Amino acid sequence: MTKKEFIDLFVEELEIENTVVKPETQLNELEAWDSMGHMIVIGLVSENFDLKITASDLKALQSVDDLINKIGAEKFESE
Amino acid sequence: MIINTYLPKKVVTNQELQREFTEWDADAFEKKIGIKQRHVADAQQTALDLAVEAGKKILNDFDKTKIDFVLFCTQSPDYYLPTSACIIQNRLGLANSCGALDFNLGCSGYIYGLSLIKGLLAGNIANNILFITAETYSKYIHPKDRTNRSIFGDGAAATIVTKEDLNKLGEFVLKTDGDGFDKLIVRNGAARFPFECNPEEITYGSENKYTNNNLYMNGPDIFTFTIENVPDLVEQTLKKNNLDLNEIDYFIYHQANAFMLNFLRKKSKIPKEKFFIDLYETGNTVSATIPIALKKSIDNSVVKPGDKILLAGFGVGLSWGATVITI
Repeated sequence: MTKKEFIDLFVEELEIENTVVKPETQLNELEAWDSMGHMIVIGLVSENFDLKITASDLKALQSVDDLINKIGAEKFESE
Repeated sequence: MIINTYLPKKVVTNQELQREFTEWDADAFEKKIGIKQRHVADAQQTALDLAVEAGKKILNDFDKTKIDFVLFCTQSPDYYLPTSACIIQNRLGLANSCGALDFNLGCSGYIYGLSLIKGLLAGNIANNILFITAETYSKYIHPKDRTNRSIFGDGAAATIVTKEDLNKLGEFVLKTDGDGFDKLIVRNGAARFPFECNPEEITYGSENKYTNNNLYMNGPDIFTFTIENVPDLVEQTLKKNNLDLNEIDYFIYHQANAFMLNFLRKKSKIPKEKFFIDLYETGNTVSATIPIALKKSIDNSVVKPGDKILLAGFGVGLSWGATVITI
């Protein structure tokens, strides 16, 4: 999965409609970034990267790029 | 094995919650979490009262003089002491020759109860066991805690298991991780921390409020725990019962929320048509979800006599367990 595909999936799963999500987008500015959103992302990361990410990990993140780095930038295919 | 259920009369719909929490996206919640309404006990109605109602209903179909054991699972007892099951014995007019005990578990409670029943039957301790699970989390939840108010519902379920059913209860896998004790907790009011008169209001998650007198749930951490442990639990349970996944006719998990259930279903590669998801009208009723689901599946002929059903419960404790039963 490329970073762009990941962001597309993130937008789709969180059902984000009125915001263009970019790597620099601040997570706290997203309406969907609540406890349900956290749950969805925990599931998404577990399913696609076989990686355990906790709620406190997620709360410490600022931007979408932070999330990508938390997963590990090396796990993404180049564009 | 027979099952009956009792739900308190009062219903709280998503629309009603929406009026209190105007920022809340009730439609998204209904679609993702799969709950439209939940039943809530009256102020005067306790889990024990719900249990007695479920007990009365099931005893219409069973000779109550034959009941020789009452098992009651709740985390909302009427008193510290005495044991709620003793009061149930009296209120249902059961014989004094009845054994009675409570145990305190939540979402794994139905599985644990069945495991205790298996032991009581196999040990020749009892022949006709009345097992009731009842919960009223609504009484613990802070009025401004939208997430928990929307997820949890009150309810009770009664199951009668007799000696003839013993060979229908398969092998059990039971697990515990007390390290996560504070992931779902009512902190104050028992022996460790007294109930506070002016507790501090704490904000968490999606703008929810609670105090240490109330129920607190770290939903995302419980979700992580579940997706990490339930697929393994299911695999181990199949192995212990010498069964392949495709030999199971139906899967009934604790009905926590539809999103989580679908995730677990996909992770274990269980076909949609073999997997129960329906908490639309009752919400998460804790230890009562599995018997409510089982009764619904039997009533709707989704499961038939002779079917093998895998049951799995998981949650507060943290505690989880599974078994295979034959209907």
